[in-house]
Order: sequence, then C-alpha cells, then structure tokens
Amino acid sequence: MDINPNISIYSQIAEMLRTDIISGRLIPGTKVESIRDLAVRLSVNPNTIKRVYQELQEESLFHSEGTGGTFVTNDKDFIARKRREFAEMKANQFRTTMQRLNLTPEDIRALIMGEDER
Amino acid sequence: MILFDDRIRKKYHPGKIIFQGADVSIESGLTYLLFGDNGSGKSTLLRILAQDESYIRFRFNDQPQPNFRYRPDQVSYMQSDLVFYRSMKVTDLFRFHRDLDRRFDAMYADDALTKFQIDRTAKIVSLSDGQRKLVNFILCMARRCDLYLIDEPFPNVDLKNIEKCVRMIIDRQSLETTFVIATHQIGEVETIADHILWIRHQDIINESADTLRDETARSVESNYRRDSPC
Repeated sequence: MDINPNISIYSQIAEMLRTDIISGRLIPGTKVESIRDLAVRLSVNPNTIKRVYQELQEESLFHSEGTGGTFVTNDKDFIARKRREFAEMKANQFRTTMQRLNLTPEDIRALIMGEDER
Repeated sequence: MILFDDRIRKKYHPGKIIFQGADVSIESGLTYLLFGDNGSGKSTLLRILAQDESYIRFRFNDQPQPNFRYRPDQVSYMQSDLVFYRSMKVTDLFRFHRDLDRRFDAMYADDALTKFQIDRTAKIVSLSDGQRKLVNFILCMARRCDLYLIDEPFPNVDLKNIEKCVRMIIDRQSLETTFVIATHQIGEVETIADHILWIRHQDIINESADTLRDETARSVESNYRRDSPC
C-alpha cells in the first residue's frame, strides 16, 4: 500500500488494517507486524502506527500481549459482525447515492450484478 | 514533556524582522517538519533551539524561568554546511568526532558510511555536494541525543539515498527522541512528521500534520504550494 499524503495518515492506516482484518487477509489470532516494521515499510512515523494499534485495541480488533506483541482478535463471530456492519454501512452509502440519481431498485440491482442495461 | 515553550521575537537589524512574537512549543517524542520561504527564519529558529542564538522573549508577565528544558550538549545539531579542515579525509573527520565527542557512536557512523558507499579514504574536498551532505547527516545521527535539529539534509542527495536517510530517522524515532527537520523537500519527509512548524509572515503555524490534511484534504506540500506569497 502506498500512503496518500492528501489524507490523514492515521485514518488511512487504521482503515487499511480494519479492512485487512474483516476481509480475513489478517488471519484471526495471528501476530501482527511490529510497529517499527510497519513504520519502515510504509515510511511513516512509528508514533502514528502506535496510535492506530491503540485505537484498534480499543475497538477489540487487536489485543496486546505486552512485550509478546500485538495479535489479531481470535473472536471470529466478532469479526463476522464487524464485516456485516462495514458492508451495511457501505451499502447504505451506495443506496443513498443511487437514490439521489433517481434509479429504480431494478436499475440498482442490475448495476450491482454488472448487467448491462442499455 | 515540553522541551521548549516560548514566544519569540527576533530581528537582525531594524529592517530585518524574523519573528514578531511567534509561539514556539516543542514537545519531546515528536518529529517536527520545519518549512517556509527562503529567508523566513528556518535556520534562525534551529539556531535558537540549539541555544546558539539569542532572542527576545515576547510574553507579558514573564516568569524568569528557563525556557530550555535541555542542555546544549543534549542536542545534535546538523548545520547546513559541513565543518572540516581542508586536509581531512573522511576517516579523519570521523576520528575527530569519535575522539572529542563522548556521545558519538563510531560503529553506527561506520555502518552508515558503508550503507551510503562513501569512500573513507577520500579527501572531503573531493566529495560531491550530495556526499558531503550525507557525511554531515551521518555525523548528526551518530551522536546519541534526545533532540536532533537538522537543517536542510537533502538538497543534492539522490532519491534512493533520501529514502535511506528517512529510514535512519524512522529507526531512531521513539517517545524519547525529538526531531526538528528544516527542509524545502516537504514531500520527502511529511509522512514521518507528527507536526508542522510553518514559518509564515513572521509567525509560526504549529499543528498536527494529520489535522492539516483533514482540514484541507491536501498534503502538507500542496498546502504550502497553494499558499499565496507574502
């Protein structure tokens, strides 16, 4: 991932890690990259990564085992619930936009399924 | 912990006012990106923080407390020009620092010379501008300190070496280490900075880099580019 300097770096990295967890790219229960390694890889300040890890811990997506490192939560139901919430939020945003364009539910459905309406 | 907090006023001669009561506050553990137009006072501010330059306090009801919560020898200050004797080879300069400076980490410096492929036996006068900058940067980073003041580290340095320098800074960033980096190459460093110190109209904007991005939906660099000249 490349950092986009036009958006808050903190929110970008938090969003990236959240997506990685709920999509299963970061496997539940596994150890996550150390703060410094991730900082070097993305070329960002370790303080920023540290704050992101703290936020994800508060959201219970990460848990810390002190000096043993930081781990992705093992609670698969919780991750599934988060994925559902995230997908619903995105779907709502999408639906609102489409309704503003005055599209019918059929049009929207066709768009999502990739069916050509012309 | 606050390392420095004051309102400063500085002028060199009656016509040349640099700061007219600018608030400067430096907190430990943060990295500050210091930028502004040519002649706006970046180097002056670094010299003030290095305790090499005096200034006038600009606060009412001033308490006569010290403004610097660190001693000058706790600072590693990279001036924009490398200081050396003309007869010196690279290795002479490094030996000079090793012998005179107890904070100087000779192993670290030696590793860095290898990393940048700088010939230790070369005379410093024969080095390119970029290589001289790198030598200067290595000398600054090899000093084990809590506060690093770095003046224009990257002009004439190639992109790959800038990346290595940035990596060296990230490796050193911690809750105990503070960096103030003055540069015109904002884009190269902005992702590793917590705060900006933007010198503008004899004043200093000091805020979180991410806050500026959130408020403007633009990078620090493009904020600076779009700013109208004074």
